[in-house]
Amino acid sequence: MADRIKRPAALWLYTGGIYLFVFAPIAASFVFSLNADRFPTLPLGGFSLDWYARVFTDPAVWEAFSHSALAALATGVLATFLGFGAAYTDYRYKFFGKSAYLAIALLPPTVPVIVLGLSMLAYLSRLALSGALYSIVIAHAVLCAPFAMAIIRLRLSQMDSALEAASWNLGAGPWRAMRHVVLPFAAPSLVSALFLTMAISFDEYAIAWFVSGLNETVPVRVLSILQGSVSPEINAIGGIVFLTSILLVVAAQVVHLRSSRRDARSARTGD
Amino acid sequence: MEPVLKIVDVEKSFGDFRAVTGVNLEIVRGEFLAIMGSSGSGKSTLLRMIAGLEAPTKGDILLNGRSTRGLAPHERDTPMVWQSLALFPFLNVVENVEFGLKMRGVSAAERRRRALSWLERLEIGRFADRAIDELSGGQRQRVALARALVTEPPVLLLDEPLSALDAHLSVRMQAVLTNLQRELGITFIYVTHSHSEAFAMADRVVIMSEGRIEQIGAPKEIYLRPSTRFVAEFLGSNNIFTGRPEKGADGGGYLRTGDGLLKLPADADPALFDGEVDLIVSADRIVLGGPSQANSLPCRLIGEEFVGASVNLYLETEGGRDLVVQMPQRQLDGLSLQRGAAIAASWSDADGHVIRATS
Repeated sequence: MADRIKRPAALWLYTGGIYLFVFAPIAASFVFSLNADRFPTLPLGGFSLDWYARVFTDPAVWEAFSHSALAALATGVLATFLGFGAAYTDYRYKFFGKSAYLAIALLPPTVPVIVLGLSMLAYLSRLALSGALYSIVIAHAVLCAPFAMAIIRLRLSQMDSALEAASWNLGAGPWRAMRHVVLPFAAPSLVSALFLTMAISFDEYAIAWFVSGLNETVPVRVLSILQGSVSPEINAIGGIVFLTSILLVVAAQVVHLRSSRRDARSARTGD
Repeated sequence: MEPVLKIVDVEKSFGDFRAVTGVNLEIVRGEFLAIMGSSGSGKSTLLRMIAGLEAPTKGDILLNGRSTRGLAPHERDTPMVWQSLALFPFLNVVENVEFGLKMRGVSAAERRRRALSWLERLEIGRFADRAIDELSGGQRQRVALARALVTEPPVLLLDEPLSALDAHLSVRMQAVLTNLQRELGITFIYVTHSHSEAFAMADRVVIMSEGRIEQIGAPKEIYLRPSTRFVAEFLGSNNIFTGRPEKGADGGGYLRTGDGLLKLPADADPALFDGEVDLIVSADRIVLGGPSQANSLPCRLIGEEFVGASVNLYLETEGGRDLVVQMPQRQLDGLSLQRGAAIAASWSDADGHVIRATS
């Protein structure tokens, strides 16, 4: 009996320990971003929003944020579009070399980002496409599209293959079937793919550093601030970046969970 | 009458596999046609070709006298009720029903009105605004029917639509379907593997096996006069005796079997008498222990199987062959048979049906 009670307690402790291990550094950074002292030491000094105020008045940081946001949005849209195309091709067609096609389509995230960034720089500069904001978008779309594909592919795999045929049967041509059946069915995964790829792009440092030229994104800016001096401003930026990405990821999760819960319900009531 | 659908020499191959071959079929307006066969018989492939989801390798399908060659699925008016129903989960009930009208460019108000009137007709009007996942199996079935019928097509295709329902609900839906079909006068083409569904609803039944049509006929005709050994076996509950026919002293035809001579029906085609024939005797035509008839075989009871109100008795003749006899439950009670008991099984020669044996 006692064993039964102890075990969940140990499990809770273990789970709590894991979360602490993962989130303590981020929490520490967040806490020190609100600390009045110049250096991160204990005991804490007074509460202060001073570092946030400094960040928000720094035009270089603002510029970095707008670069990051623009790049993330464009990357998200492009990667989701590419990911959908790849996932739909996999869902709908059988062809020779399909497993090779899938393996190659899912490859980019397995390449070390340093290698990816360096090769992107070499490639894009040869095409005279490097050093601009769209260079980041191109490079990030390559990195993000496989994530979008994986999410959308999972959703499409839950689609009854008769659904699309049923819409043709009711008078919809292939494009209208896409617009009225496939896209609405895939919609939750499109939204979560969009959010997730935006989060990945927003956070990504190495590739952005190589290809961005003078268009610094937030992570690049953070690193260049760090190279000059260790300022609690970094903690403030870190706090904002963390919140932004975690909101995007949580939004992606919520959309995903809600759609799969609805599917589970319809599977249960279905005979 | 002018056929609404004419299938001419249709063949469909997938690589080396011939799913459908040499199919010719004419279906008239207002007919309820059931296509029956086991899985892999080609019945669903035939239906998918009518809908344009598969293209025939050879031959043509004429809809209202016009070739459908090269017509994409959305260019023909052959809506289908799918085995999985394939309702759109992201649309509610009335939006599902409106779909076909929307694709045909019917105005929003008009399509809403027509969709609602079909929902009323199928007695699910009060569920119009429900999500599909809030409906029961039977209600979904009706939504699928309404969605397919809302454009008032000349032909409705049904691909085993009742296979997912329990027996009780299935029988109720059969009544809904037959009534609708009579009222609307629309041609129904109904694919199924279930004898009871096909025989209960259809005007004509097509029996398919290995991509070919084995027999086409009214249910009663197929039941009483199966034209091939496959059909006789497929229907179950048939006893098939194979042998060489000969003329008896009385001038009638007899079949020589391991159980002696069996009298053939007087209407058996004399042209068949030059080779081996199959004598088919339906299980419900054989009487046990009754007054002696033209054919009588001494048997032993080896088993019984209850099928609702009737019972199947499995017997073994003295010649060692199996015999199945079907009778109402009540009649069996009157016989008080023990397993292993000896009893005579007899039938009138007129109840036999003779076909050429397939070698």
